[in-house]
Amino acid sequence: MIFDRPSSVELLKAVSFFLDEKIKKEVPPHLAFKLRIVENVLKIVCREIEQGDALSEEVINDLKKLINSDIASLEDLANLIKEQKIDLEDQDLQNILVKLSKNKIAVDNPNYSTYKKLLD
Amino acid sequence: MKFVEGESIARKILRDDEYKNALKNLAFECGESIAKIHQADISEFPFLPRKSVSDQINDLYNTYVSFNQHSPVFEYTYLWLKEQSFGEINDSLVHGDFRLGNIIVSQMGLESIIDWELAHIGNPLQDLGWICGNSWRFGNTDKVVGGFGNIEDLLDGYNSISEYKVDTKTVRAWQVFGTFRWGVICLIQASAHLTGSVNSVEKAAIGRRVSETEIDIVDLLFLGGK
Repeated sequence: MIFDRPSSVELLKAVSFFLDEKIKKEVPPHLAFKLRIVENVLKIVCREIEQGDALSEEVINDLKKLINSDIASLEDLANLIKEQKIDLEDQDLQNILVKLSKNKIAVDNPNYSTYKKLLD
Repeated sequence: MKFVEGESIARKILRDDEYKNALKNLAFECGESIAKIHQADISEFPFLPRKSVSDQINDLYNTYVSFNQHSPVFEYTYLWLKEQSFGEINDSLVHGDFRLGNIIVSQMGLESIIDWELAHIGNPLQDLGWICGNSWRFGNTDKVVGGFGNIEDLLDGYNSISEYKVDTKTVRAWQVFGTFRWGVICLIQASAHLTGSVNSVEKAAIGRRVSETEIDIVDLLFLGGK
């Protein structure tokens, strides 16, 4: 990257801090609720920038092994299931669907109850 | 129309001390209430749409497909749902959105049912699965019914009124259906933002809640989730 610090994540975290520390207490309740959504969105973006590549690669690597190919995408996996080219009881398939779901929620909402339960 | 005193905000009902006693029997009461809704004379509701289970499953799937956002979990869910039994029961009045948030609760218990926008005529057992979805447990994931009760109490309440007796396996199929349905609703909400018909950070954010329904579905289907 040719860009100076702060990095994209550092910038986003500065904005989050500003909203949380300075703005939250100034806004009326109906906007406080929306502000919480805005702060969550910023956190999603931070997590995706920081972990997104590794989390995606993990799933795609498993998928490449499953379909025995050098390239693979979620569309390939969706079509494999849709066209029933794989047994739905296949353990490797089910494992990929679990990993895919865990890795997506790890970015979208790592506090989600089902995710936390599965991590324990 | 009449005024009913009580609370509908889910987090208050689950959190505030004044509802502690009401929560103890609420799952049973919800079961009774759902069964009573299902006993309504459907000839009184000619204006409501009639939806078969297979039509609903296909509609949800086609809606998902229309957004051209590939979800291997939803593809799997669609095939799974097509193989399930949803209970051989006569078409009835279905509330369509029976959950905490759409019921009024007082310190004494269940007072009234509100928000009938999704009411239709069809297989009524959908209402039992919907209230068991993890999306409506508000973080109390171990309390399967709405974050406050267990499924046995819900079904005891239902079966105490209904002639048709429901088992947990049927409710589970409806639970997966309901979770898929909520996932597709999240897609619809997000698309309103993505297509530019509204610019809304809430609607944008809800697009990232689809993954909550995906992990709930894989938990239910593969990992022994309740």
